[in-house]
Amino acid sequence: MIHVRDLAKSYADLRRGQFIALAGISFDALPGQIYGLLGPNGAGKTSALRILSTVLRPTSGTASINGYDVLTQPSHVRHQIGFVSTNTAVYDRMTAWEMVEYFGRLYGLAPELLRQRMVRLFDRLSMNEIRDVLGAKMSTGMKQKVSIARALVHDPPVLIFDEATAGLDVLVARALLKIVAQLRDQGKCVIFSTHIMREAERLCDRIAIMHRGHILAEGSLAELQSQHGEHDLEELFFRLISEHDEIRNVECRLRTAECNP
Amino acid sequence: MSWTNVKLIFFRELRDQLRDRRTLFTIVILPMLLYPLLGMCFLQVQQFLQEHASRVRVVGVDHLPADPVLLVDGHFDPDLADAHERELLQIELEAATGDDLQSLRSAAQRDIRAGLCDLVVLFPPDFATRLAEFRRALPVAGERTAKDKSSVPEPLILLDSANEKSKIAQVRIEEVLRRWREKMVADNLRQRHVPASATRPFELKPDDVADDSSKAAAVWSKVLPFIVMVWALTGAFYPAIDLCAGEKERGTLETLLSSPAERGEIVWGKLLTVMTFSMATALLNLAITTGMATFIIDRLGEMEATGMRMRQVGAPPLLSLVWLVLALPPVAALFSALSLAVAAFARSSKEGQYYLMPLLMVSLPLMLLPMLPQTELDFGFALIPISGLMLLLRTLIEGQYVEALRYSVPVIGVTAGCCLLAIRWAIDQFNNE
Repeated sequence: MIHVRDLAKSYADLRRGQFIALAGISFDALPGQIYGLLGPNGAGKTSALRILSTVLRPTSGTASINGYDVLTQPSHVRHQIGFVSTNTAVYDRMTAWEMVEYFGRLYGLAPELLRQRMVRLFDRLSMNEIRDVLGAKMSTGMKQKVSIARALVHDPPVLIFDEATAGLDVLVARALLKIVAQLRDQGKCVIFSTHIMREAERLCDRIAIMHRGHILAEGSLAELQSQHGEHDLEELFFRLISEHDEIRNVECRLRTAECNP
Repeated sequence: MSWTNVKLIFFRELRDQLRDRRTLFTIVILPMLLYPLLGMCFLQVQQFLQEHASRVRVVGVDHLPADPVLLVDGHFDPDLADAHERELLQIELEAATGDDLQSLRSAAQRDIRAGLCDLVVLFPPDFATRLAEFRRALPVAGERTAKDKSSVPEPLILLDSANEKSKIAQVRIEEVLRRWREKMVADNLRQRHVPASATRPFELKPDDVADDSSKAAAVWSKVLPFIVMVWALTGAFYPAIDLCAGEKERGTLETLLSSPAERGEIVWGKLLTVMTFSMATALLNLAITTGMATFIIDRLGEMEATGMRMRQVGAPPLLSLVWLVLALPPVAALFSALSLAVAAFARSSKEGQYYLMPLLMVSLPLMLLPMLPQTELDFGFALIPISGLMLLLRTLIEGQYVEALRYSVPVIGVTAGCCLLAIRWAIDQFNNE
């Protein structure tokens, strides 16, 4: 479903020179699976997901979704995905209904089909109360629900959630995680990035631990625990990150050339 | 590219902007309130200045000649100023016996600066005597003259040209004094049995081939395109910032970029929205300013000092407004594309304002260039963006259709080229987002 090979992204930075956000990562995510990207801030999770959602172009490497290449067939890719992130805000001057309808029409859904889907979605996400509320007057939780409805309206086979629970209260976050689990059960391929260990532990079928643009470890929770002899995901996470930083520091000292901070 | 998506994006952005009270206030409500208010204030001030009596002090009344008489019972002679003119000249008479010219002049200057009077007419101490000598020395027919005019001391008109009231008083008093001098000349000629026509053997009679509408077009062809250009740019400014940098700031652009809409469709949808607002702003401001200008000119035409000049200008010809409306789409397209391209580069509204300021700084001189005297549409100007378009518009308003047709291709070509480059740039910005 999602195949990522040697995906790299670097930015020209005036102060830091060439900043490497992704250092050639590879992974596969399958239907009926939640693939978790776990990492601290700056690990490269958002860059990876923005490339998958065609918002960003990779510097090198390939990524395909449902057989469509993100670089050469971006418009096909966009029909296959639903993208929700902390950055995908709702329009302040549109109601929940108008916004979901707008995106449904952009996806080319026929009016009657779109209306039926919207009615179902608004029921399923308990959004009927906010149907005519303007984005500016919505709470963070309401906005996130609208974002999910907007991402699901065209019934995509792949869903990408980038730090989707950030800034949400416990109740709303829990409801969102429940929706994500339901989507997996429906056979969707879900990519879920987070820096919260508990969310990854509870939700993800496979986890990739990311740090400084690299995937340090990848596998199911059980595989990670057995491979590294560590039962606590948080401990495993810290150990992998510390080891990576230590190796990097030694490499930096050995090299005369400047390396990225 | 799907035009259905372009239409969808356009209508969404349009609805979004129309729901924004700040945009509506700046683009619609503000000009509707501001211009009539400013126009009324301007008119009131003009009316006040025009109808307000000028305070004129005449110093040295004791040095005035007895014939022809200038003052009668503390006012100007009714032959020199009618009742209305005398009403508008509130004069204060002062003798100057014993004082020298320099001290009289200093005192007058001091009083004008202190606002005690608007203007002072100062007759030098020996004015009447020297004038009488001059008149006596004038040759009769067949004689050679011994004295010339320079031996007559000139009355001084002291005023403050930085003060509008003082300038109005100058216009009024000079008219009266001119009539007095003409009366004196007529007396001189009569005494020497010379017909009055001797001073004017022929009259200069200009025969203006321009009709009233051409005269009005000549004035309005410079002013109206500038108004349209300035407001088309201003109208494009804020929607462009809001639709690009503002959306980035609010996080809604990423939502749109991950939707099936192509970058080109997004840019075209936003461009049409910015263009709509640019055109609406220019049209609204053109309508209001033209309406206000017509009203003000009409009212000023009734006023004495500016009347003749204003009557010559007249209201904007209807055809000029038609040309302006027809020229508005390319003008708005150019400014909208440029504003959108620059705004797409910015990451926040604040940054957008900083980036758009240089666009304004470059555009304004290009708008002012065609207003310089003797600037006419030629091939060189046709290749300058904005200036060429403005000159083409001016040429059309002036009715020079052959000239306009000759240069329309390069002007439209340059404008379209700039638009396409700006759109290409904006699409690249969205691709690199």
